[in-house]
Amino acid sequence: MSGDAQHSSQSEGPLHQGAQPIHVWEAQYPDTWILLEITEEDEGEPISGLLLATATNVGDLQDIWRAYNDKGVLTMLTYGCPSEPHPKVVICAT
Amino acid sequence: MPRNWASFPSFSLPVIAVQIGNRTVRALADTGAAQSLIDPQLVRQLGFTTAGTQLIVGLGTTPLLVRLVTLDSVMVGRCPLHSFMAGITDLWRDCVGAGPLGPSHLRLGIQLVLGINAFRRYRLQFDLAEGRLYLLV
Repeated sequence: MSGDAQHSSQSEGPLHQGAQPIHVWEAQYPDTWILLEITEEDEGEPISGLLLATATNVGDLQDIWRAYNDKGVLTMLTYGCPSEPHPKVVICAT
Repeated sequence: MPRNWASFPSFSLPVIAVQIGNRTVRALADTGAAQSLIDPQLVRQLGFTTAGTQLIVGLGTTPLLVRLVTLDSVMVGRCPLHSFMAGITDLWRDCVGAGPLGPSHLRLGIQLVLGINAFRRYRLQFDLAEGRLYLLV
């Protein structure tokens, strides 16, 4: 994993920052990739999670994401809210 | 009745949470796309192998040849999507470009675009006010 990722260990997450709703994490870390352990879901819809790691480059989360998956942890990779307005998306293909 | 909908912000793009195995990622439900797309980072994370290629084109773009993977374990809420193909393309960096207003990109934080080929056997119902995408059989 390269140096851009900031991650808390599995124990640090629950100890220092408890589970929060997904949208709260997204507001707390704008313009940032956020890796969460899902702690509450409603029939497949993730509701709350514990912070595992954050990074500005999603590639920096690959190793830790895989490690948690290998342990059978239900994870969610999400993205923080934009910190400033950006152009409207009208089509999504390259 | 099992939940058959996914939520997204009201009157916003339908970016929903989908589950693939133990992993939940953000996906754009895009009924304007004939072909689903997947970010290469997610392909690597899931360990998929590619099979075949497909030409895709978007508004104002030139055709692009992409490699394909088969996704066969994607869940929206409690609704399993039937196996579908997705073209591999960078949904983040490739969108960066120096347009007349300067560099820009989608900034949606998505790793998957669910085109119409992902929703076979479902009828879709968008409730933009409530921010819900219903999958109806």
